[in-house]
Amino acid sequence: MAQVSLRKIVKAYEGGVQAVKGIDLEIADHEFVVLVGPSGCGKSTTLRMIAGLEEITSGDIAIGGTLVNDIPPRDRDIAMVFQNYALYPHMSVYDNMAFGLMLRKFPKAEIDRRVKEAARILDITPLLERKPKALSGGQRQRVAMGRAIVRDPKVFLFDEPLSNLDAKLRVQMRTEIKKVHQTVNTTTVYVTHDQVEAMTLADRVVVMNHGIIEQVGPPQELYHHPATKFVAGFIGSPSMNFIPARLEQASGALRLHLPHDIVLDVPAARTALYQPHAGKDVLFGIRPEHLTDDKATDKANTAPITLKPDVIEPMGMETLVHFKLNGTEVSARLDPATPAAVGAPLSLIAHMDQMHLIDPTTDKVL
Amino acid sequence: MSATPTSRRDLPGIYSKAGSLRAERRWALIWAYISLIISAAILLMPPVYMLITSFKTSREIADQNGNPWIVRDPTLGNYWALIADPMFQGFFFNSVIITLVVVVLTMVISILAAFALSRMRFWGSQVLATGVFLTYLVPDTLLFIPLYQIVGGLGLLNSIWGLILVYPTLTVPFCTWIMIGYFASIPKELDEAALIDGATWPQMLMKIFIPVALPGIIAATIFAFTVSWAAFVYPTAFITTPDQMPLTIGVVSQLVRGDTFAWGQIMAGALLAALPPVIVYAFLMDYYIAGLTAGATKG
Repeated sequence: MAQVSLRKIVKAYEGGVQAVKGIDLEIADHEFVVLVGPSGCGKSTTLRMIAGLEEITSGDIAIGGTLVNDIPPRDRDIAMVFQNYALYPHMSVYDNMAFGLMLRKFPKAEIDRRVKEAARILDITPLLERKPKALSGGQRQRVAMGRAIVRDPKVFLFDEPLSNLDAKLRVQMRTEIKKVHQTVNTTTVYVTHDQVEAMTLADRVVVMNHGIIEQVGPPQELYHHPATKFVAGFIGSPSMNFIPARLEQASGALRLHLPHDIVLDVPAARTALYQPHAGKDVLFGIRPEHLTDDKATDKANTAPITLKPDVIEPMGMETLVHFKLNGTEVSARLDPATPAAVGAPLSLIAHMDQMHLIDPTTDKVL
Repeated sequence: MSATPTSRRDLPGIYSKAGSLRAERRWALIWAYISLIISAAILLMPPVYMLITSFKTSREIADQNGNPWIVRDPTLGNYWALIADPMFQGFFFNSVIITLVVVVLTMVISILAAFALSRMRFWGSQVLATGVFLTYLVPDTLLFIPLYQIVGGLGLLNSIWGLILVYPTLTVPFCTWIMIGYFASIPKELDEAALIDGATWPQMLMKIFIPVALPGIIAATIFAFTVSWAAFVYPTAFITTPDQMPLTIGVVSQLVRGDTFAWGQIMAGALLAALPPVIVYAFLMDYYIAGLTAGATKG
């Protein structure tokens, strides 16, 4: 049983720069948690503190209920997969996987059983006698995962394990990692800057920015109910549109006034929630997939917008259209069959039941 | 269908550029060969002259007539005389003992120092690493005076053990520097993976760093071997009797009797003394170059 607890964790470097600013996080047993955020947000530092590779400046880390602040990495019962695989180049695949068990003086038969079982799970049995240099990137990453699996640790730590792979292999290995987790069901902490990896792999996603946790939640919750402008913009691709607007009262209802005299009705269900902000400037947040062509059959809670595209990007299964609205970049996602031309007016609808309003002074989603 | 240009006539610009690149490359190669041949001739002239002279009798060497580059009456007498001479055997034996002990000592100290300086971050490690290299820049012609005092104080003058004590001052700094460069080229994640796998620092050194850094270790070993085998200043200053002399000074001091130079034997002795480094380099040259250039570019 291995839950991981981070309590008020701070990491400060010489000169007073704080990489992690007092975060709290509880990771349940068997849970797959992904730390995601832009470069320098403190996600890798947090992972390395859990591993014991970085000292913590203050706070407590517990693994399986045991405080591990002063316990060296080898005694934390964790296994880590690195971005550059970190395979021992002079050892065969078998020896790479067996190394940790040999150091822990496991019986030879047990080592052999575990290595072969992990190799079977990862489909690398034919590679066991090869040296790392004779393997492809994907195979090396499997070996790195095998090295973690054989140890049967309390916690798996993944530090951007797919970043060195090409796009196709990354998708394939992402599925592999999910399968492995479903098989071995070990508590996993996974760091990535790729929000798609975070959404597809995680039971819960932890969005970090500037050394703090912006929001923790299941992927769908983060997508549908972001707590801050940062999370709203970071989760989802292409990212959410943020359009400056003014929320106005109009005979018992609320209306959003956007640039270019565009006026959108706020759904009645949201009126009570947004009422206190009537008469104030807000940011209107809407995802490109909720700003679509007006072919929708159910037009309840939608509002029409007509815009002139600047750039059109046909993606095959969809077409992305980009506009400029009073200097603000706006994207919409269209059916590929919709005729669209640069500079020609295009009728769209905004799905207002998917809208978000953001307080521009606090960047909190209302 | 539109015509696609396929001949040189259709793309004159591209082909003339390609042609000029080929010509440039040809000229660069020609100049490279010319300068290499000249350098090789200059560098090989002394050993070739030594080889020729070593096959001559004393009478032929003393003869002022004839071309000195041609052996008229070849003999292996100089070599046999040296190999059978117990004094020369003693020089050789001394050189082997000194070199073996110095190489082992140097490598143990250098590997441990380089590992600590490059991987176990501690206060002052950067300054120490630079300091180690700076000590290498002090020439032995300056160091032998204070070292003479030290070796004399320890009662090790005129003893191969005195040389074994002082040679590491020449070999350890450079070897440590080579090893620091090599260890620095090993990704940091490798130690972290080993730490998480359960390795202690000594286990990490023995099971990961030494095998991975083998080319660097071989390069450093060759350097230590060459320096201690070929050292001249220290034995000249510290050794006075033939029974403690290594080859380098034994050949030149004992084969000159009064004002008589046994040139044939001196040349044969010098060639025999140069043989072990030549053999070592011939077999391990690739490792030596790989070790010296490690860390220059991150692969």
